[in-house]
Amino acid sequence: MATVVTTAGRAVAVNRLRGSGTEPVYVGWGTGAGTATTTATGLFTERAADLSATTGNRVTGTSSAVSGAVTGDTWRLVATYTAGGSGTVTNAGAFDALTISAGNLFVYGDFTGIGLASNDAIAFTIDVVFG
Amino acid sequence: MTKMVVPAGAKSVSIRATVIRADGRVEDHGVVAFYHKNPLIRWAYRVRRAVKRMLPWRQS
Repeated sequence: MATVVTTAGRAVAVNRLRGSGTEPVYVGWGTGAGTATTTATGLFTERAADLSATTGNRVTGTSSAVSGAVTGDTWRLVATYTAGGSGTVTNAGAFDALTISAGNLFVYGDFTGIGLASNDAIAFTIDVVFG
Repeated sequence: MTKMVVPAGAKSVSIRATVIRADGRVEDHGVVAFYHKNPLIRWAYRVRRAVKRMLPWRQS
């Protein structure tokens, strides 16, 4: 496993520190395969809830500050995405815009595909620990 | 293989997935994507995931 830092993610963090921008609480999922790069701006084949459309809205999560090694050092985003169709989810991430293909990708990961049928859901918990 | 894009300055990032099936069954997939700035901890995570895949009774 390797890791890269997106320029978009840096911009989101800087904007938020300056009290501007939008918190990246919108979770998207994708069904494509690929390798993350530092210039990544989106997921691999991001899909809407029906797992087929490439337009529509992401799901809005709820963020909180939780304590890890240091009090309040972890940004946590929790979101439940319910599938309106069937497919295999291979990657997910947090954006600062609700609409698919809009906004900046803040954090993102790909994983072994999770097969879903209609009305199945995935509850994502994304933790970012600063330290 | 699992890979993550993380914001600058992050010590660690994880994505946990819990699948809720339409019939109500809940499948906890645990941490499906993980990054830690310490490469040894990243390596340990990969080993744990590999062992988990090989040992079905350890899958959650």
